[in-house]
Amino acid sequence: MNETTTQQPVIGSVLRASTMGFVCGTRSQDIGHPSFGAFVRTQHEPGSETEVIGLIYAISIDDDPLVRQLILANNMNTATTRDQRENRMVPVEISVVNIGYIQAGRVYHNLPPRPPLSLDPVQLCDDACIQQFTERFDFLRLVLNTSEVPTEELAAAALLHAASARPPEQRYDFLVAAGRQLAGLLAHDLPRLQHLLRLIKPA
Amino acid sequence: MTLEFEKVVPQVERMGRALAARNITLSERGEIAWQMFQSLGDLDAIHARIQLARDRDAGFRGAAPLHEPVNRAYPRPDPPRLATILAADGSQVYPNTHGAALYYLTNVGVFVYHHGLDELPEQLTEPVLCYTDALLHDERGQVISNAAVNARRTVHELQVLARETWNRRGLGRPLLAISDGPLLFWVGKDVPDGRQLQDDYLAAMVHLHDAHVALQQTSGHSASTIGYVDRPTSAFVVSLVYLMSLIPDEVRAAALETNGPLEGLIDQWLMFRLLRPGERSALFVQQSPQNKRYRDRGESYEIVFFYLNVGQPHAYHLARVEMPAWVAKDPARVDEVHALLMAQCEMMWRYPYALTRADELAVVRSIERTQLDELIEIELRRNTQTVELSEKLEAKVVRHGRTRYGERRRR
Repeated sequence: MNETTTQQPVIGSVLRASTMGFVCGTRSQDIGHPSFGAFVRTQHEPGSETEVIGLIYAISIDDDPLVRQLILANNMNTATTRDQRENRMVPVEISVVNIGYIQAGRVYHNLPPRPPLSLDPVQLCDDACIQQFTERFDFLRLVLNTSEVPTEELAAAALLHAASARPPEQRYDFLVAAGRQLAGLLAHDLPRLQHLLRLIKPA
Repeated sequence: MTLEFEKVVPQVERMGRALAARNITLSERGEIAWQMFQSLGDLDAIHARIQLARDRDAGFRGAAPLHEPVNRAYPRPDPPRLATILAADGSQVYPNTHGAALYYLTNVGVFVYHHGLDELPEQLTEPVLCYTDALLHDERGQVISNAAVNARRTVHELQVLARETWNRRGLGRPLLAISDGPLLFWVGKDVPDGRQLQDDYLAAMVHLHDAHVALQQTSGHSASTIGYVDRPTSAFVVSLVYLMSLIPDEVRAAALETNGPLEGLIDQWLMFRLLRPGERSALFVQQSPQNKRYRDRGESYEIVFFYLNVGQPHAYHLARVEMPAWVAKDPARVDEVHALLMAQCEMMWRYPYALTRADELAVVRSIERTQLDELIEIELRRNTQTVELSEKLEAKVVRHGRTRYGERRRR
């Protein structure tokens, strides 16, 4: 796993992208770090002033005929499993929805001016970046309006990630403030709001 | 113009009826062949009959039993605790006279699996790009045929397999080198340097034998070599059954041109009756001038084979396993080959895992071919060469809607 200057792991490289989101690829043995709802960022090029910020909403591993055959034969051992995972480089696809960008140190909760490019490295955001990005909650509107994504679960997972990026004494207040923002956004849809609040309810 | 299915469908229906009718007559003849096969219990009588055919130069191309009774099955033995299995396969890009440059490429993949260990299997590929006039043209200046590329690839496959087996002779455990396809190698007249290629192939066999001898001397283990033929359509045993059905006076070249009333039957008919999953047939030697040439190189190099049912109780599947005599004449080595192949096939349902992976390593996919062509085009332009595709290729690109970089869309 590559390490960058911020010590956050590179979880993959961009396969395809649009302003709405992107998909990055990685090898199957490298999926220890990314998780659902995690904040990630990409840079167009080293030293670029614009960083696209996104949330992981899906991690998928495609099958292939050989894997199907192995499962059918039901006679796998450690060597074949290692061969499949380490030699065959079974690609893992990580889907990300864009929720904003950071340009010249300023946070924008809006779609980025242009998507990342193929092979741009994708990195998990560190705690400082997450705190900076989630000082306001405007990005939640983008998340809740995203189609083809489990929006409530994604918003909840992102908020829990953002809470855990803060010192323990700030987490409760952060989640309460997030709940208030959600109440405003989902005032017209109480069942959805209720579900979301249950998901982020502090322990 | 696309294929007009309304014209093809009636033909497909006729084809289905014809094949069904043929299978009925084949099954009747298969029953006759099975009855005759079961009666082949006298090895001396079989060898005497084959010798008679040889004496009369009758051109018998069937199977001769090595030393085991032919009408019985041999059960699956236990595999060795540890072994290393090497499998090689190859693929190629044929020369294309319509492309930007004339070249061909062969790619050999080798997969190394350590049986009984949790070690990560090894894999390697060896691509060779051939572009010189000497390699691309025959002595008449014509571009070499696809058969010539296949022959060169086959030789390279066995050379790489021999080298990798030799390099592992110090492992101190049994080795099994698997080549995809038959071990008997010969080339047609359209292949330049055919004699040289056959010599090179035999030299690789000698190299494999050397690895075996070295392993035997250092650890007492064997390095066995086999050629694996999946779903064989051979009729060597049927030919033997037919030969044994003749009276001595009938054993003549004219009678042996075909398998007489058994013509059209393949050995699979008999083997599916004889072998349950996991069982192998007796060892046979294929009678052919090519095999005689191998035998002339040394008795250890004559090619012997057995059939193996690698299927399941509800779905039989046959393979022909060829091996040099240095393997076949030692029952312990034959057992080792038999058991290891079954262990390999079980991993993939009914085909050796190592060969599947070697094939996957070797194969050059069409997208990779396109990328290679693009790389060559770029390199030609960098060297200030004019790049011209033929009109035929350009027309194909237009018809098939080939897209360039930046135009590809994901489904």
